[in-house]
Amino acid sequence: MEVTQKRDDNILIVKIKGRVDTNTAPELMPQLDLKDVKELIFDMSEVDYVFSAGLRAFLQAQKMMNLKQGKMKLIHVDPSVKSIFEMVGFADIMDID
Amino acid sequence: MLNLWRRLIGKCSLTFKLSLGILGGVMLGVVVLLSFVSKNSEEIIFNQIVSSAERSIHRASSSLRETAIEVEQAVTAIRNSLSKMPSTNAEVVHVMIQSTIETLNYEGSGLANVWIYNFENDNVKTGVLYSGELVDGEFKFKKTIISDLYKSFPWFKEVPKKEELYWSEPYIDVEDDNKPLVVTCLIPFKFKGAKYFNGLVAVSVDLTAIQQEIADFQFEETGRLLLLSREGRYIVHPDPKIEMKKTIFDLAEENGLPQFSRAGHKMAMGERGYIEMPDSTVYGNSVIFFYAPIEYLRWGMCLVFSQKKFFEPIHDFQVKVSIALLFSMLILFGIIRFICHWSTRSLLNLSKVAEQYGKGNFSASLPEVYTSDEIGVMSKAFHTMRDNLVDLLENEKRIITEQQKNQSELEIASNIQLSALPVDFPANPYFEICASMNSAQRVGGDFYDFFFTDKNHFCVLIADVAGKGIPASLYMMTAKTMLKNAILYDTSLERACFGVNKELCAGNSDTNAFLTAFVAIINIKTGECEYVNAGHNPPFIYKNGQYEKLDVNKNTILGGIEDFKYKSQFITLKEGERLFLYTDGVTEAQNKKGNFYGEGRLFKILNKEPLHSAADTLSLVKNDIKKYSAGAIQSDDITMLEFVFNGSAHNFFTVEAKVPETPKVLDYIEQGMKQAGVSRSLQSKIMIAAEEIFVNIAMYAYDVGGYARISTIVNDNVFVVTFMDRGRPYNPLEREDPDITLSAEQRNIGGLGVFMIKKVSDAVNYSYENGQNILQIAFKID
Repeated sequence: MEVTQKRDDNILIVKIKGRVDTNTAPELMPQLDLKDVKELIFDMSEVDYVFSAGLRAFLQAQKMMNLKQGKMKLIHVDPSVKSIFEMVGFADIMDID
Repeated sequence: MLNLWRRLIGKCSLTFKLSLGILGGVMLGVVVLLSFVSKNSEEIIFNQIVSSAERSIHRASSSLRETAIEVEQAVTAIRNSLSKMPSTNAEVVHVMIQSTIETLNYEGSGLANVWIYNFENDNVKTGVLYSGELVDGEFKFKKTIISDLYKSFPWFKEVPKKEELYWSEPYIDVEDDNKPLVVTCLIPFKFKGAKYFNGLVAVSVDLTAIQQEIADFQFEETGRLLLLSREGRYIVHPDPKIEMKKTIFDLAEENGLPQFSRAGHKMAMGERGYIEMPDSTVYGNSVIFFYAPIEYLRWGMCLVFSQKKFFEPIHDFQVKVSIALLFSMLILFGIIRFICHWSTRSLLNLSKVAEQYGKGNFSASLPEVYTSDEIGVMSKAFHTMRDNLVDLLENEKRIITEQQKNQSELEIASNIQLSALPVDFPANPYFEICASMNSAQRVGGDFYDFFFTDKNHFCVLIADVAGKGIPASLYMMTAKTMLKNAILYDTSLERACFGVNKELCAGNSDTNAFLTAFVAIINIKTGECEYVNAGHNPPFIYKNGQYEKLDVNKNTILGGIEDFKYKSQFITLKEGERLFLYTDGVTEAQNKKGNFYGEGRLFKILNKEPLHSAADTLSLVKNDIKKYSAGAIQSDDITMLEFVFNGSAHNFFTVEAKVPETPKVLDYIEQGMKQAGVSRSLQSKIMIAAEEIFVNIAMYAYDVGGYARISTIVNDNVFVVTFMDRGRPYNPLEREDPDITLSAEQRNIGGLGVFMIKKVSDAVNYSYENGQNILQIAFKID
């Protein structure tokens, strides 16, 4: 998993490349500096698969943003990946594009 | 108090203590001597005072005494003359009195009387008094008729009845104009042939002169003489109010001094003595009161004086000597201190050097001591001690260095030995292997080994060198290398064993070392197994659902009998069958009572539990031994090896069951999906399910470690992924599904896995067969 971050005022755009699995998912959140971030955007264009640990990481991120009264958004999500999110009901609690 | 004294003394230097001790001793001696001398000198002086006082009294009383003798002689002479006469003859009496008076020749009122009287009924009523005296040097004689003699003289009642000399008490002669103090000596007489006393002869003496002489007597300034009459009346006393008026007994009673009363009696009895009075209102301090009798008169004389004057020089002397003593002590102290300091100087130097030695500085040189006294001896002993200590320390240092060297060499040896034992257990689809060795000492004599002899043949072996420690470990290294080389390069196992045995025997003429070994070569595809047991304890084989002893020829040890021909045995392992190799360190592990762990217990623990991965089996046994021995010291190396034959099967992908291995698993499955032409959307689902299952196995299946085997197949448009592991039996499908309708805040992180597996797959099947969890997930390919 490779992560690149782009900060634009209070918007943080995180681009993920590769698998977000049990090995890599725990590294995702700690490397994000969410201070003063109002909107967190994950660019999922280069994510082929998402695993349960990855789903948990996104759920954790969503919870954190909810606490900060900010927004979280997943963009460029591959349909096959999106179907996973839908399957576990995350489509209802996350903004997935 | 004692402790305080000890502390004070403890702080002082040796010199000070020595000086103090010696000085104290000398001081004590001098003080004793001084007090002895002063006491003696006081005694001598006192004795001198006594004799001087006695002499003075004797001298002072001599005129009185002489007078008394003369008077007595005169009286007696008249009496004698009268007693030869038949009757009175005034002429004769006149002559006698005149001659007596003139002989005595006393000035003043010296007089002699002769009474001649008549007795009537023993009483004297009237008489004739003949008296004579010298008036201005001229003798006058008179004759008087006297009545009432008793009234005139108080002593008159007494005297006429005794025919002896009698001295009256002194009295004032009232008939004389000068009222002198006189004393009278009397004696009664009888005329020749008379029956009764016919009269008295009396001579009176004027005491004024004697009284004055005694009152003027001077004795060492303060000394005064006292004169006492027979009845203790003071005749001479410094106080005129007392003279002739009071007796010694009166004064003793008045002043509460009974000793004076006793002295009065003693004087009357003719005894002498003295009384010491610390304080007297009349004579001052420290008064001594000598008393002595005066013979004839039976009077007493006292000499009173202050003895202070006599002892003053002695006291002066004592003070002077004390001051001199103090000065000489100070000088002595200085001298002693100097001597002590001088003689303990070397001791002080020694102690300084000793302090240096105590700090470990042995280069400090000892001071030279040339004397052969105790300090000299000690100095020599010190020298020897220093040399010995230096030697000892150097020796110790050498030993420690050597020990450290040995220790580190031993550690290196241990590392070399351990590194010689393979610890990378290959993940192989055909078999599973795990081995371990726990040395009883830093280096051991056990070893195991495993390696491929060719592509399909895998060798496992275990061995136990007789003995322990360094020698055994060295032998072990040699034997291990020989065995591996022989097995690798010899096509026959029997020949390899023969060769190794021969070589070990050849190099073994001195050491008599040997080893027991079990060697097996397994065809990993077919399970065919050839093995040789060289005197080793039979391994266990797991078959038909339980561990049992493998049938082995005992053969003999390696390195024992040269040219011994080892015989191979053969079996064929079936899928899931195992070989459990171990050394006797396992079965002979002891508890604190010294009992052995034993084969029975080993069987019991192995067969008790469901099957494990090889790694878990070894861990299980190790823990059971640990529990059994319960802290007892491990006496032998504990070495085990388990080989599990997976079976002749399948194209299983075998991977160590560890989370970091996940990408390998996913890559393998991705590859399978691509070959099978699985759609993109289905790939996501298969991947999420596969990842979930593998992570589950990696995290929970094993205690220590093991493998997961994965295969993907396509059958009738169904893509099947199979997972196999030898972990604890576990059916993931029995887990409850999470509630996915909850909000993000209510959702529990985790627990999604199994739910997803079920959700994404078209069929899930779990079974536990032959000691393996088998989970299959199937997906329909559109």
